[in-house]
Amino acid sequence: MNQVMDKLKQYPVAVIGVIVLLLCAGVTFLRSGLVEELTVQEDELAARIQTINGNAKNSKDLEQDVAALDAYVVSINERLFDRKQRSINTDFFYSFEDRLDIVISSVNQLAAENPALMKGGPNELKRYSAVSYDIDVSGSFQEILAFLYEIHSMRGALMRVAEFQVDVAAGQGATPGSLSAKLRLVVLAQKE
Amino acid sequence: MSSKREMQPYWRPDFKDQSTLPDIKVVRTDFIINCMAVALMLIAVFVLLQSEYRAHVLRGSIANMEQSIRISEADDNLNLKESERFRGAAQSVEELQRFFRAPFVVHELLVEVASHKPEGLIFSRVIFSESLSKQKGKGAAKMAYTINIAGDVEELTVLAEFKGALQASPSLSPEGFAVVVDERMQQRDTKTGITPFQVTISLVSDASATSRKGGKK
Repeated sequence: MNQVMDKLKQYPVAVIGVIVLLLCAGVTFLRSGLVEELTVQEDELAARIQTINGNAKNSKDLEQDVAALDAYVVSINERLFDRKQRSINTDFFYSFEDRLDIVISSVNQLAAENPALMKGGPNELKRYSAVSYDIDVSGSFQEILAFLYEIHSMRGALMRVAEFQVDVAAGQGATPGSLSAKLRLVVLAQKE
Repeated sequence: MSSKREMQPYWRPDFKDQSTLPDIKVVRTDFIINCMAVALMLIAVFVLLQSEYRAHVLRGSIANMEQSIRISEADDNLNLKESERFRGAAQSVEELQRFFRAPFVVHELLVEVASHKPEGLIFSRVIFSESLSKQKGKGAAKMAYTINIAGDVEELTVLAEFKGALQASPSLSPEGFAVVVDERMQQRDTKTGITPFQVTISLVSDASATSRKGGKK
């Protein structure tokens, strides 16, 4: 023991150095987790700032775009059919007779939905639904074309022709050059 | 007398006891040990100070970042709300586009078919229909469209000309669809020389694509 004490007394600087070294190593070891933790926190905040900056960059003119899109959506919603309003819906189609020189002999609202627009279909609708109608029309080629054009122009309702069959009108009362057309229309409607 | 002799120091060093010998190395052991100890201590102090300095810098940087986030958070929340609204409205518009997705506008299709009708050929019926085509083990159903034109023709070369015109028409071969034009004839009326015919244009969709956009949270 005395020999050890003698040695310690012989090298006081080295002893103090070793003690400081041990203290520093201990403190460094105990606080090593802190730097790691702060680095992780800094990385997370940097990522958050990057996201915020990215969002700010992507949001340039977003307000105007949203306003424009909202106007479109309002315009869409105004033209949606309500499948329960059968008489109003049917009358909508007959009203084409006033504007065009055609005769609409029947309008039938179908219970079955268009399979392409149903769940699992290639054009599946989630926010809206679709109502199908079978319509029989007669008139000249130009008049039927005008009717198809009116349907396409989407005044009053958003609809398209899913199927049609145009025949040369036959029968006793048929005018020469007159055509009869059977149309299957699909109209965009409110979600049930 | 003898005890006095024992107390007297050696008149020369005892070379067997090395600790009593003077340190005669060029660089003394004390110096090397002290230097090493001080050097190691300095290294340890340096490492500790460096680590503390790094922690200090990180704390400052984190405080700045937190302040920056606090300042821009309100704007970011507003942007995210706007983005959510945009996404919702865009979905409605996308759905509308899906609703109208078709290779033809029917009145244009009728005009196109009629424009290719040659002299000596009469249409009696034009049918356009859409259906779902699903092949076993080939994934999702695809849209298929059929245009069926029935009529009468006097000379079959006119029918061939009509079929060729339909095949060559770019409007009847929309992008993303496989198109097949086929014709069928019935028995020729021996009295009038007229042959009833049917031309079928079949289109099957190759694929469909969707896109999404919006902000991150």
